[in-house]
Amino acid sequence: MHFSEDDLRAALKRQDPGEGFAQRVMARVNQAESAPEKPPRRVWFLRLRPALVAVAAVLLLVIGLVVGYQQEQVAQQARARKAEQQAVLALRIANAKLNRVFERVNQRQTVPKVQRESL
Amino acid sequence: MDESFQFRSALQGDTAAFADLIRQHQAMVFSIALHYLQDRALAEDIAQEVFLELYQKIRTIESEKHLLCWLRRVAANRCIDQGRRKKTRRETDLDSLPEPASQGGHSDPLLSERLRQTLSLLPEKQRMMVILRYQEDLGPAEIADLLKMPVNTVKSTLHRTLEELRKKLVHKIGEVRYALF
Amino acid sequence: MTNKRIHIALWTGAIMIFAWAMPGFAQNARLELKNLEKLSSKASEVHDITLDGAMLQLASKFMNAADDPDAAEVKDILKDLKGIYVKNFEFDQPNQYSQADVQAIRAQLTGPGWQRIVESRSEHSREHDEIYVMKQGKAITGLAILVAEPTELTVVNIVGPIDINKLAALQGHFNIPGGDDSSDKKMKDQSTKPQLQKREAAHEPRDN
Repeated sequence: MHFSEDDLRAALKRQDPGEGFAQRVMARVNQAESAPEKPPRRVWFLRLRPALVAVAAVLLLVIGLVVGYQQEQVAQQARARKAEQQAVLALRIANAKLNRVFERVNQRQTVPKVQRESL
Repeated sequence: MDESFQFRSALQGDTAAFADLIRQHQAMVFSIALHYLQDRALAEDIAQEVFLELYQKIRTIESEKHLLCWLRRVAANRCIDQGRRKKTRRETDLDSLPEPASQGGHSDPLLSERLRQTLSLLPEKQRMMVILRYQEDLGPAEIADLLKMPVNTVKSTLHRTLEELRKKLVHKIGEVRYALF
Repeated sequence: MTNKRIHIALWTGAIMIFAWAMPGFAQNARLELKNLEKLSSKASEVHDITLDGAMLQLASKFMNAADDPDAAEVKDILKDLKGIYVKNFEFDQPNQYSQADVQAIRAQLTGPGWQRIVESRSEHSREHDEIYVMKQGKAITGLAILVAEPTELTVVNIVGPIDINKLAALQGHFNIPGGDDSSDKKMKDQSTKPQLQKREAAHEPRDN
């Protein structure tokens, strides 16, 4: 089937929306003007922003606590290691001096002033 | 009312002048939407929204020529958006389509209706190009400016679209004839 | 209120105050060693160790007693201690510390609760060794070792229940990198492991 450009022009001739269109538009204009202004709609990611901030804050807090706890554990282990070394060194000196005193007493074969019953 | 005076008054917030402006351009805006969407109620809604937007942005309109361009562009974009949303492009049974309104003149009303319905089967941009070309009598350069496309693309697409339209029309008429016999 | 009731109330109050104040009267085995700190500048080697109960608990907590029997022994000694305080000064020259420095420590050990159990003095080598214990009943709750040599002065003060035999038997169980080499040497020099139970010690009353 053939058609000319004029056929297309005729088919796509402007049509009027009918009486009252302008009035209906003006009614919507008036309605829009009298309606209280709506807050601007926020796009989904902006609506999500407070939640994201909260999640990020919680995440940071958890990471901070974990890192802090780990650092505290490391620091405590270092303190404990140092305390352990000091304690062993102290016992070593005590042990050496104790045995040295007893040794001297034995070597001199003097009358040692040991109150045996008190041990 | 003098058109320039009417435009200036509408620009200054005169609602009566704005209503006259609507009356002056309502057929253009409504027809773009109607021919594109093939839905009278939806076309009226789109046209109303175009004029509502115009009311809100009237101060940005510089001239009557600008106004015409603005109305066509906004109508075209809203139609394309609406078409994408509602996927109005669908194969429709020609016999189930409503009877076309009598337009008068010497054209064949059946052919006009078949043309309009076949047009609705075209892709979005091609459909809008045909409407702007044959409803609004715009040249390829104006259509290119309005749809933000290169002029040559508009020219070649229009040519191809007309061929496509012819093929689709023959196919549809063939189907109807086959169904009748 | 009758006189009898007033009497009872007064006695109850007095008993409560006494009970509250009792810990303050308890004998403390910790010695004041601050007067020795000035010797650090003269000494060629210093070991100054201050470990209170909390630090000893921390040290015990991280000791691997399960796999190491030596560590288990050390942990057992540290278990109930309330403090270990050591001041050890080694000098290049003799006469770097005064008798007054030692006397200040000895004076504290003449206080109530302390009892000297060993004294060894040599005029020839100018050595004076003393071991003191603090006892509550039969239990030792404090130990002080005072070793004064011409070029070395050592004060060891252990606060809390301590078994001297266990402490003496620890010899050879230590393995600390960078530890007290002089003590190590002296410990190695000893040919026998002293056993207090085997010692035929003469019993002599305390001479101070």
